[in-house]
Amino acid sequence: MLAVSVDPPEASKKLKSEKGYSGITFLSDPKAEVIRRYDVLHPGGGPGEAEIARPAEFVIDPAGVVRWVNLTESILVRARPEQVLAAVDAMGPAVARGR
Amino acid sequence: MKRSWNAPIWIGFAVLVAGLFSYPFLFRYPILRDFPWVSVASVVVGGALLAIGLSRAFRERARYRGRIGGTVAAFLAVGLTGFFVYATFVGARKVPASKGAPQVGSRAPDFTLPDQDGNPVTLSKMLAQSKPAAAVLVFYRGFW
Repeated sequence: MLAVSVDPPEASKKLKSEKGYSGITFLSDPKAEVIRRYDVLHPGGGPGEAEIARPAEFVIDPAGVVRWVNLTESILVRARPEQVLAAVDAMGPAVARGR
Repeated sequence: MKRSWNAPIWIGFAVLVAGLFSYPFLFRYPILRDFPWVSVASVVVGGALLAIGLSRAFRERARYRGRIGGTVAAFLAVGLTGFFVYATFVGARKVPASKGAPQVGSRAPDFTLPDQDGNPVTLSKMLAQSKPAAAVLVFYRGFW
């Protein structure tokens, strides 16, 4: 499980240890380059009109193909864990849930 | 005759305000996060109590207090509710459409980014290593 934001690594490290998100790898994209590549940029969405990522979730299979996408219409409504797990399970038994 | 305290005004106002401010504290429950049921219920119940109290403050001036306080509470309640409705149903929906985002069946663009310890992580390498495992890629707003 990879989580991408514009936060610097130090902020993510703090978040990860404070919340105990051991299974999540936090990736730092301060210039929003990958965020732009995925077209999930939210210009002016952050504090002080900062460029941030809009909430978005992708499930990617071992071959690198997108198998499930969730692009919420409201920042308050997010994907639920069971939706993501169902998307992973839909790929069949050959693909482990892994981390 | 001493006029009595107009309880419904203040109970209604308290219920309404508590319900609006409860919303972020209920985020752990997806049903209550996806739609602010508790806040909406509290606005209905609290607003009704406030209206009852305010109405009798004006209709039965000799018996009940609360004409000034109730009016102030009513304006505050309307303002807070309006702000809440705007933030929840309008502001929170100002999200880019992301029409160019990778779709189901397309290849996920590869990338390398530093993790929380500063070590580079490459999507394709992560997918290739060890057993066949899916990757869940989550973009989040940050600034927590």
